Amino acid sequence: MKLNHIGSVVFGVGLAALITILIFRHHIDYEKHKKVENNLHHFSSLNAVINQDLVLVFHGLLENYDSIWKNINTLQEILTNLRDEEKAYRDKHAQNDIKQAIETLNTTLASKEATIELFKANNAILKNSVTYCPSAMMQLNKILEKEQFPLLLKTMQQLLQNILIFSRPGQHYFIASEINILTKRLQQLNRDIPKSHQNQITNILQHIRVIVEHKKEVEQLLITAVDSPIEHNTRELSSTFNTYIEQQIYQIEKLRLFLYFCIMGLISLYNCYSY
Amino acid sequence: MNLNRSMIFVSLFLSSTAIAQYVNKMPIYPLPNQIILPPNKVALGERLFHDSRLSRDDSISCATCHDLATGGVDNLPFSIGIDGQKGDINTPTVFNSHFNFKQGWAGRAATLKEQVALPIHNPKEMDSNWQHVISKLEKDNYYFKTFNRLYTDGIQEHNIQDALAIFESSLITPDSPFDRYLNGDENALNEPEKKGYHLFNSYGCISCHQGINIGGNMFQKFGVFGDYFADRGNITKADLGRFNVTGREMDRHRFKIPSLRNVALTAPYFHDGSAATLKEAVKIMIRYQLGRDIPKEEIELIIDFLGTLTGKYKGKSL
Repeated sequence: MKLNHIGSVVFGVGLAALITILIFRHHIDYEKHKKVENNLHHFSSLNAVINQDLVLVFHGLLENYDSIWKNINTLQEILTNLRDEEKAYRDKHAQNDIKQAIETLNTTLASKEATIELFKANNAILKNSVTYCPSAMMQLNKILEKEQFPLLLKTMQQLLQNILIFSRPGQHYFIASEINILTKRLQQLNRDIPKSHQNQITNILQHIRVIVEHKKEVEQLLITAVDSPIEHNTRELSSTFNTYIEQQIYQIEKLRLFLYFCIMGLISLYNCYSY
Repeated sequence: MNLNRSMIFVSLFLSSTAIAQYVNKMPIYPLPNQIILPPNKVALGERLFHDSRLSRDDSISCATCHDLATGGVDNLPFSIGIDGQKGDINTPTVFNSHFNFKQGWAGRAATLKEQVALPIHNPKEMDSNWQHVISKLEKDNYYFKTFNRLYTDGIQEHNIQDALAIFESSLITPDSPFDRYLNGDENALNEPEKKGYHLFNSYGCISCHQGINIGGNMFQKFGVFGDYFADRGNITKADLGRFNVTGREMDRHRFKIPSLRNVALTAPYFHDGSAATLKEAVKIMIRYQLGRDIPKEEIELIIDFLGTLTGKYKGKSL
């Protein structure tokens, strides 16, 4: 009886130790999960701020690029933090899935950054020509008016009007063909005027070319950057994290049930031996 | 009474926040007077910055090329590194590099911490490695004690990088006449300087040289209006710019726009150090980047304005 009693105690202690080990192996770090959720939420909202800033830059309401690069750097820092979180998962399958989702997001971010860099550079070139070209044309028009070049003046005036409309944000590509016709006419008329004016017109034509080429490109780059699948990939990553957290919760639930039956069994065993 | 006072404070706070937000949306905004950094790490980084033991033969320190007394550069087209070797690219200033979006002409390093490792390993600059550097620093009692006090794992490469990056972040030059002008002091600039600023704006220099660092926040192709490299000749690998980092064709001849802060002190100019004077540099920029000709007098006015970008380091004008 005494031996049996000792046996049951040893059995009980062993079981308790086993359960403790299992619990520690499968515990859920809710703090860490909250951190991951916060990071992903922050990632998503910063991406929205970057998109907003790009649109503001495009419309001339934000006149520097500082906030854009700072937010991109923060996104990269968040990705580094998320990589550290991924290492905390012991399950190899979970680690691989999360790693893959993070890498997909990283690739998308790198591609968005490259698009933004091109947008910034081309937008600066466009802005320069859009600012300079109309004023240079108006200056030359005054001279042409005085020096009596009516045909050239008329072409320049038409071109100026079209350039001003074309420079405004929006789809004005139908004007591009008209600008093309006018620039060709200007090139022809440019041959019969004094050399100093010829140089000025050549310079203006260069800037017109920049405006026509870069306007469409800048708008396209803006759309590509804003439409980047970052938001979608962030949601994917979030769902991957959640899947494994849910799996962990399910495992813990199973363990709890197992623990409950074990305790019930122990109590029954104890009762059997007691009577 | 108390409620009124609180309301005044709240409205002052809100209006100052609104002003700050508005100012940060401007093309250029002033440098802060200081950045809060851990002073012990700044001091450690400063010592490392001037320590030639970071190089293989103890001959070159960071300060050799980034002389703080001469605007954070050595005023040479190409710096002289270990064994008297000439570098491939002009040394950019270390001042205000904290505000650059990437480091180096081609943006090779994303952060100052990353950048620190590049000259240490470059065979033409310091030609060393972390193992070598750490073994030398460990023998120094000051470094041994200080690293162990400030970092849990003592002298390690990431801690050396950290201390140097923190010191470099402290190298800011606020309170230039132009900063004072942006802060509302109308008399901080004289009339020619104000005209120069107006021209800087109207000629479109500001399209690229913008933000808190008046540059340093984007890449741009060198030679938008005309082929600068064909005209200059003798194209080198360094001339490929960002292409050397990304390998993307669109990045060929693309460089980080340099900051114009303290530009009057940092000659010669451009990645190839080809412009000996500010006047030459402005002319090249106007021709190849802005695609226009401007009168000589206006170039002088722009140079007058650029002179107002010289700030103060540790309270003293550079």
